[in-house]
Amino acid sequence: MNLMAFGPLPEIPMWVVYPILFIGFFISFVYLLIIFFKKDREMVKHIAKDIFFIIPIKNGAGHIEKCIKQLMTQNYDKKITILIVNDASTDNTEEICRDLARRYHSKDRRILIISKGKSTGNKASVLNFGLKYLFSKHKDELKNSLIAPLDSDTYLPSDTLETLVPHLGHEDVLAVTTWMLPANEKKFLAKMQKIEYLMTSFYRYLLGRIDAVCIAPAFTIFKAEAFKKIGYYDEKTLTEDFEMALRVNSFHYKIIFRDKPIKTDVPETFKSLKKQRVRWWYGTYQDVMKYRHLVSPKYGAIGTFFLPVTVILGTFIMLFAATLAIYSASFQVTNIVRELALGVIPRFELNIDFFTVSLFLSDPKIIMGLFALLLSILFLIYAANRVGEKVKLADYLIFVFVYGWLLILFCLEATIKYIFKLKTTW
Amino acid sequence: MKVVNKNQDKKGRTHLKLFTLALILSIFIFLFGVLLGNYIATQQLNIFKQTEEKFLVYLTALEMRDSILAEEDLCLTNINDLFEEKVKLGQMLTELERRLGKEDKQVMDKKEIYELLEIKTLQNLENIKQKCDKNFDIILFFYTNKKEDPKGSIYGGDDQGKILDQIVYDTRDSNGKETVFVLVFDANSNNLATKALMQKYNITVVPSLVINGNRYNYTLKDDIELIIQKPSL
Repeated sequence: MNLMAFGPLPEIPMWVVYPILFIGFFISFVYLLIIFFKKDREMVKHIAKDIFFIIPIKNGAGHIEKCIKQLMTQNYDKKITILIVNDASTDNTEEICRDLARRYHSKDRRILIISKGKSTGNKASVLNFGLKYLFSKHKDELKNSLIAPLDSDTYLPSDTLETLVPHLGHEDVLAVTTWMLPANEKKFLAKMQKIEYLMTSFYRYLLGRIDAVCIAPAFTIFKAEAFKKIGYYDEKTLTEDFEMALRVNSFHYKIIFRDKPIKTDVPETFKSLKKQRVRWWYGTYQDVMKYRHLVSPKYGAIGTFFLPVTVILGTFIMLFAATLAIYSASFQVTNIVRELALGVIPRFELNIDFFTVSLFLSDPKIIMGLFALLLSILFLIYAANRVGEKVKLADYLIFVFVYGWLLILFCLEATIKYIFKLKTTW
Repeated sequence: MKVVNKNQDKKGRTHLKLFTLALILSIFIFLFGVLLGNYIATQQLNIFKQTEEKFLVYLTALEMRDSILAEEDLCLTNINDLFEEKVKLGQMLTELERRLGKEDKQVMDKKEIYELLEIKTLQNLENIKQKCDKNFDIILFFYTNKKEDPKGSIYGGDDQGKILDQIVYDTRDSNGKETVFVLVFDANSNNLATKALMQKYNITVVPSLVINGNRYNYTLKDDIELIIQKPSL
């Protein structure tokens, strides 16, 4: 078969790869410089106040007891109220919660349970249901108090409140959040997510040093007044925590980030992970579009670095990388098909002589790629040491070269869904 | 409702310094990567040059030996060893082309010497085949690296090269030694010897093959096997 008429797919040109590497380096160096030159805000001590946890729950019979038990062990000398908002669970969640409420009721500790008659399948609406309840039934108690939305599969060490609450002293700070790590880390996907959570928490921690924390994840402590000042959760977005954090910043308030790792259950199956990540990306697009006006020096590092570089350019790079990966795979496949049509059996010979290896390493793309990998390993070591976690190098390499691509593909799916307005739900 | 951060302007400027420094570091790493890469590549070009020179000395010594000694000694030459050195050089050249580009000046200069070595190897092989009654095939392969070449397609050359690689692989003897020897020439080479070879075989289009002295245009794998009369293993 004469294939001369059909040229093969062209290779990826360098001008495509280099900008990606350059932006990646720029982001990495910003983080590196923050480590060396930026310090945490000095603490203006906040006197401990009563705290109201809001726990939205739907069919969470399997983990709610562990979550509540952890809350009950808090070394906190003020009143703790736990408001469990049952989102029309169909299992025995409510029964378990009522039993827990009876068992743990004391002078300074109480568990309240309210139920939404009909589930909307939207966490923001469940949180808002709880907020409305608190602001109507416990209005007086909420003055100068704290409200902490908490996922029912998230577990707080006993010193979480006493560590984090004192950092709420600054007038312009509305909330404090912390490192989030997987509670389950035995299965492959959970192991990978441990690295992912470690790294994202680490970058958030560094962003905190330049007042650019833009997420209020599974557990964040808000001053109760925050919800009066900036409003309740947005029920239209799929990532209410990101939206809320952007809103906090849009009002020129801040969220601070402090060291006190907490654990949360993470998806262990491909299907559940994919669903979660597609939702996260989809929600990110919704929120970035809603708050695009924050891309301005008026909003400090949020407007000059976090949103334009890390989120927008970072997402663009990920999508570009996904496109390149798909293209490269097509390139290899068409080459193989072409060779087979010529009667050539593809042979994968690995030349590892000094000449070939050193010439391979002399490619600036490879040199820069290796440097970037080294830099990211240093970040990982720094992050792991900061929170006393251990990560195997082999796991990290799998994370970079396998799991990372999986995340990029989820991002691609979310992008397509967002562009074509395809339905994505909780 | 809005709280204006009094330190906002000051903080903005501080971050600008941070970002500028990050930008400078990124540019530095980029330049460092490019310069280091080019330095290593230059070193590899030197290694290639040394290997070329060694091979040239070897071939010249071989010719001198043949002119001094009798024909029986010529027939003792191990053609696979002779060819192996040339193949090694060819692979190095391919790697250099891949790294620096097919149209890189330094690579093209090295290629001219390489083609001379190929012609010397060809002469040795033909000599041995003729005088020692050895059963092997010699294929000359002419190709182009120019994208818009009136002589023919660059892709056709790539495909023909892959076919020839497969032929060489398939026709190895039971000891894994090659029995088909392919010598590759750039049809746009300025090398006088290569030009002479093209003239001798009337090469006007690419890809072209000269199999055991007979010229063919782009040829499919099955047809080459018929010509050399060696079925695939």
